[in-house]
Amino acid sequence: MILRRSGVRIGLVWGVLSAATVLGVVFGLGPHMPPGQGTPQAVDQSTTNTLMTALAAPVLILIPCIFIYCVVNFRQRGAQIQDGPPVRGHGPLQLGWVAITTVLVLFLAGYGTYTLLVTSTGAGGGQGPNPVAVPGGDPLQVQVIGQQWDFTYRYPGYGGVETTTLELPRGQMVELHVTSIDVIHSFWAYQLGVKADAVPGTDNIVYVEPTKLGSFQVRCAELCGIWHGNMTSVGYVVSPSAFRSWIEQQQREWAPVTKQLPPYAPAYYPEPVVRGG
Amino acid sequence: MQTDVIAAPASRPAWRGLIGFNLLTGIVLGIVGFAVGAWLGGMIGDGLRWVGQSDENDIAIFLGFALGLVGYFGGLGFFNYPISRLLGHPPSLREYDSEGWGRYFRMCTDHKVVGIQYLVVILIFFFVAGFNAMMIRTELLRPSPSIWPADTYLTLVGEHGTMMMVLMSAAVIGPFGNYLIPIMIGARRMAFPRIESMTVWMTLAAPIVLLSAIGLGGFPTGWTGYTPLADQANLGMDSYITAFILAGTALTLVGFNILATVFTMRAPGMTWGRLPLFVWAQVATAILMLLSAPVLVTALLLAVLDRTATTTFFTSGNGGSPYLFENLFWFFGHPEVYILALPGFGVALEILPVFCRKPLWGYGMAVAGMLGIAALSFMVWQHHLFVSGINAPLRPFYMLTTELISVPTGFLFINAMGTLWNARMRLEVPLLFVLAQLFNFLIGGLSGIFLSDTPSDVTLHGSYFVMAHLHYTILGGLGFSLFAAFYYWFPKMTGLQYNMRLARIHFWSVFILFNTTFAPLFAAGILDMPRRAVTYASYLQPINDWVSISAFLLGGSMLLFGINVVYSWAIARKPAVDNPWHSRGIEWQLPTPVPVHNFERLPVIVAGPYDYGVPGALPVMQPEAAAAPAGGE
Amino acid sequence: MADQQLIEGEDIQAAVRNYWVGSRLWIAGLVFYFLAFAFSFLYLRSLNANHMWHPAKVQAPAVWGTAIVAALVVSAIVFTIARTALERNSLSIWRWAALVAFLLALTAAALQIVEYRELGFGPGAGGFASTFVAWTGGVLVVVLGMAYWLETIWATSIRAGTTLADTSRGERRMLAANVEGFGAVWYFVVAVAVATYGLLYWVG
Ligand SMILES: [Cu+2]
Ligand SMILES: [Cu+2]
Repeated sequence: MILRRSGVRIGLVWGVLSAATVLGVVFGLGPHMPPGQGTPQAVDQSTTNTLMTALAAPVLILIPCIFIYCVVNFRQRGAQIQDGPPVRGHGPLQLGWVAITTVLVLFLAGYGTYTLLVTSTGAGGGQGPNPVAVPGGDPLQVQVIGQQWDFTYRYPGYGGVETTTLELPRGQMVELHVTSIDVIHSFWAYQLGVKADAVPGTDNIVYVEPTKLGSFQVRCAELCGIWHGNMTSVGYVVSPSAFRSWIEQQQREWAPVTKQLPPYAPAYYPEPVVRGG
Repeated sequence: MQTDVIAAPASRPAWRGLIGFNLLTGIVLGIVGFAVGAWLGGMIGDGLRWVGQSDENDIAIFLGFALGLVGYFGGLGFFNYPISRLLGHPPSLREYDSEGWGRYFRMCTDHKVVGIQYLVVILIFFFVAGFNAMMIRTELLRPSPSIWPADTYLTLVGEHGTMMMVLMSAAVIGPFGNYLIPIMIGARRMAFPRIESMTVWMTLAAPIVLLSAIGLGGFPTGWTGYTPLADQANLGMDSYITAFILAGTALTLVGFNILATVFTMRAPGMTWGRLPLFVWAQVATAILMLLSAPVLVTALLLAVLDRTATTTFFTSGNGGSPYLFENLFWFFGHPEVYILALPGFGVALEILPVFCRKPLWGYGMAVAGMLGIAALSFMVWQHHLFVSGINAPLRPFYMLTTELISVPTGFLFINAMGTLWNARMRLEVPLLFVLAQLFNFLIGGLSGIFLSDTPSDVTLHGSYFVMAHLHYTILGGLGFSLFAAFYYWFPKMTGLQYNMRLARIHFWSVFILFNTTFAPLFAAGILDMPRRAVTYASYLQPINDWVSISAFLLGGSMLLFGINVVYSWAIARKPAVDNPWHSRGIEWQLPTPVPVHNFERLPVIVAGPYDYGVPGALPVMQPEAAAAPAGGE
Repeated sequence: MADQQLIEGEDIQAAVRNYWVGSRLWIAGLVFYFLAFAFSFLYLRSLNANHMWHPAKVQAPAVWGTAIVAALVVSAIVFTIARTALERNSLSIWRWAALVAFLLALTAAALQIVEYRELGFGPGAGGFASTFVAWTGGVLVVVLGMAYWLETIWATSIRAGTTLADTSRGERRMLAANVEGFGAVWYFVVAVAVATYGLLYWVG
C-alpha cells in the first residue's frame, strides 16, 4: 500500500536525521553546552540542556518531515477540485501519540525534579529564605547585594566586610544570600550556573560549589532600570589560600567603610518608595 | 426585528454628519475630560501632604485618564443606553445601524462592523508597535547606547511589549472572532452586542493611552510592570497602568460575551460536536480571558492605589511585597500566553481541512487539546518565578504542570499531521501560512520546555532565549495565523480580492526573515545576553547586527503586507468570487457582503463543517428553518 | 405565541437564556476579581514583611463594618421577598420591596464611604491597612454596579405598568429572567461581602 510505503520512507529519513542530530548534540555540542562545567550546578544545567536538545531534536525533525512529505506528495493542482479520503481519525495512533508525549513529559519532569532536589542542591536557582535542597557541612556565607546598578558582596564570616568583586575559594560549598536594597535585580553568575532574583526585603539563598579555578561573568538578569545592561562584573574562583589572603586584604582595605555599614542582616528594608500621590 | 434604516434627509449638509455620538465627539470629550480630571486631580493633590512633598501628581494623571475615558465613551454614545435603562426603558437595539460609512466611526452593534473595526485598529497599531521594534533593533546595532538615550530605549521596549501584548490578545478573537462566531454558529448577533462594541473602542483607546507615556516621561519596566521599579518611575507609568487596565477589562468582556454567545445563540442543530474548531478555540480563549484578566485588573488597581493613596501592596518595607505583584501579574500572565496561542490554533485547524479537502483528523482530540490547555494554564504561573526566591517546595509541581501542557498542545499537532496525511492539498496562501505557523510554534513550544524545567531555566531565565521563545509563539504562531486568517477571510469580510502574487511574496519573505531574525536570538540568550538591556557584551555584536538587519528586512516584508491591504481594500477594489476556497463553512454559504442580520431566517444545522469527501454529505445548513427556537441542542 | 417575540432582533428565548448564562459567567469573572483581593490578604498576612502586616494601632472599626454588611444582608433578604412577590404576581409588593433592596444597597455604599472618613488609620499604615482599604473599595465598586442593575430592573417594571401582569408577555418574561440573573449575582456578592467582613474585621 502506498501510504505504508510513505510511512516507511518518512520513518527512514527521520530516523537517520534524528540519529545523526542526537549524536551530534550529545557528543559534539554536549561538552560545550552552556553554562559549562565550572560547578556541579552548572554541570547539571548543561546536562539538562543537552538532554532537552537531544529529546527535542527528533520532534523538531519529525514534524517538518511529515509536513514537507505531505506538501510534496499529497498535493493537487488544476481547476478541478478533488476531495480526499474522509478519514476522521485513527484511535490507536491517537492514543499512542498521547502515550508517547505523556511519557516523555513525565520523564522530563521527573528528571528535572531529581536534579533540582537531589544532585545539585537547587540547581543553582534562588530558593528563597527557606531552601528545600540544603547541603551538609558548613558552607561559606556570602551576601550578594543588588542596587542600581551594581552588585556588592558581604562576607559575614569575615567581619561583615563588603567588597566590590566576588571571589570564592575552590572546592568549598558557598551559600549566597541574594538581596537588594532598591528594585528587583537578578544575580546571574553565568559560569557558576547561578541565577537568583535580588528582591528588596528578601533573603534569596543559592548554593553553589565552584570546582574550577578561573573567572566568571556576573550579570543582572532582571530589568532594573536604564543601566540594567551595565550591571556586569567579573568574579574569580581562586585557591583556598589565595582566597584567605584576598579576604584579609579586603578586610584591611575596607575597614573604615565596614564600621559605617549597618549591621549584617539577611535582608535590608529600604525606606519604602511612597509615590508623590 | 428592528431593521429600519434611519436615513439622513438629502438636504442636510455633509458636516452635520460629524455632529452626534461618534468617534470625533468621543475624542473631543475625551480631551476635555482629561483636562478637567487633571485639573481636579491637581486640586486634590495640593491638599494632600504626601503629594505636596513631590513634584509629580499621579492623582491628576489617573483622574485625567478616568474622566477622559468617561468623555470618550460618552461621546461615542455608550452611556445613552445605560441611562435609558436607568429611566426604565425596555431593552432595544437602536444602535443597530445598517448602512453607511458612519457606522464604522461610532458605537455599532452589528458584529460584522465590529469585526472590521477591530481589524483596522489591530493593523494600525501592529504597524506602530512594529515600528517601535525597528527602533529597538536600530539601537542594538551597537553594544552601547548610541542612537537613543538609555531611558528612551527602555520606553521603546515597554511600548513595543505592552502594545503588542494588548493587540495580539485581540488580534484573532477581535476581528475574526467577532465577525465570524455569530455566523458560524448560525446566529444573528452576539449575546451582548453593546459590550462587544465597547471592547473594540477600548482596544483602540488602550494603545493611545499607552503612547501618552512618551509625553509623561516614559516608563522603564517593560510590559511586566514589576514593582518597585514601577514605583520609581515617572508619570508615564500611569499610562501603562491605565492602558493595561483598559485592555484587561476589554479582555474580560470579550471572554464574557463570546462564552454567552456560544452558549445561548447556537442555531438548532449546532451541537457541540458540530461547532467549528475556530469557535471552539475562541471558547477556550474566552474562558481564559474571563477568568484571568480580572486578576490583572485588580493587580493594576492595587498599583494605582500604591501610586495615589500611599497603600503599600508592592513595597516590602511597609508590610507589602514585590512578590505579590509578580504572583498576581503572572496568574494573569500565563493564561495570557495561551490567549495568545489558542485563537491561532483555531485558525489553523479551521483552515487545514478546507485546503486538504479532508475532514479534520481527530476533531474530539482537538477540542480536548484546547480545553486541556485552557485548564492547565491556570496552574503553571510560578514557572515565571523559578529563580525569584518564592515557594521553592512547589517548584517540582509547577515544573510538572508546565511540562504537561505540551501533551494537549501535542494533540493539536497530530490533528494537523493527520489532516495533511493523504490529503488532496491545494497550496494556497492561507495554507502556507498555517503550515509556517505550526512550524514556528513547534520551535516556540519546544524552546518553552527548556524554560519549564528549573535547572535549564536557571541558565535561560531573563535572557534573550526567553525573548526568542515568546516571539516564536506570539509572532511566529499567532501572528502567522493572523495572516492566514486575513488571507482566508478577507474576500468574505470585504467582498474583495487581494493581490495573490504579493501575498505569496509576503509569505516567503516573512517566513524566511522571521526565522533568520529570531533563531539567532536563542543563541544570544544562551551566550548570556540579558533581555531589555541597552548595553551588551561586545562579542555579541555580530549576532545583534545580523538580527537587526534581518529585522529591518522583516519589517519591509510586513510593509508588503500593508501595501497589499491598502491597495486591495482601498484602491483596486477587485470583487472576489463567492467562496473562492470552496469551503463548507457557513460563513461562505452566505451572500457577500453578509446581510445586516446574517440570516433571513435562522438556519438549521444538519452536518458538520469539515465533511469534505464524505459521500452524500449534506450541506452544513438548511436555510429554510421554519420558526424553530434558537440555540438548542 | 410568545416564543415568536423578538427582543433585540433575536428570539426571546435566546434573550432570556442570555440573562441566565450571562449572570453565571459574570459570577465566574467576579470570583477571580475578588480572588485577587483575597490572595493579597492571605499572602501579605502570611509574609508579614518587616513585621508591618498589622501594627497593633490599626483597628478596623467593627461597628461600621457590621452596619455595612448588615445593610447588604438585609438587602438580599428584601430582594428575595421582592422576587417571590414577582413570581406570585403581587406587583405592588415587588415594586416596594425591590425599591427597598435597592436603597439598602445604596445605604451600604454610603456607610462604606462614611467609614473611610472615620477609619482612624491611613491606607499606608501597613499591609493590612492597604488591603482593608482596597478590598472594601473593590466590594464597594461592585455593590454600586449591582445597585445600578437593580435600579434598571425596578425602573423597567415601573414604566411597564400594568402590562407586566400578563405573565405570557415578552416584557414580563424578560423581567423575570433579569430578576433571576440579578438575584444570582447579588447573593454571590453579598456572600463575598460577608466573607470579606469576617476576614477583615475579625481575622485581621
Ligand atoms: Cu538589572
Ligand atoms: Cu507562563
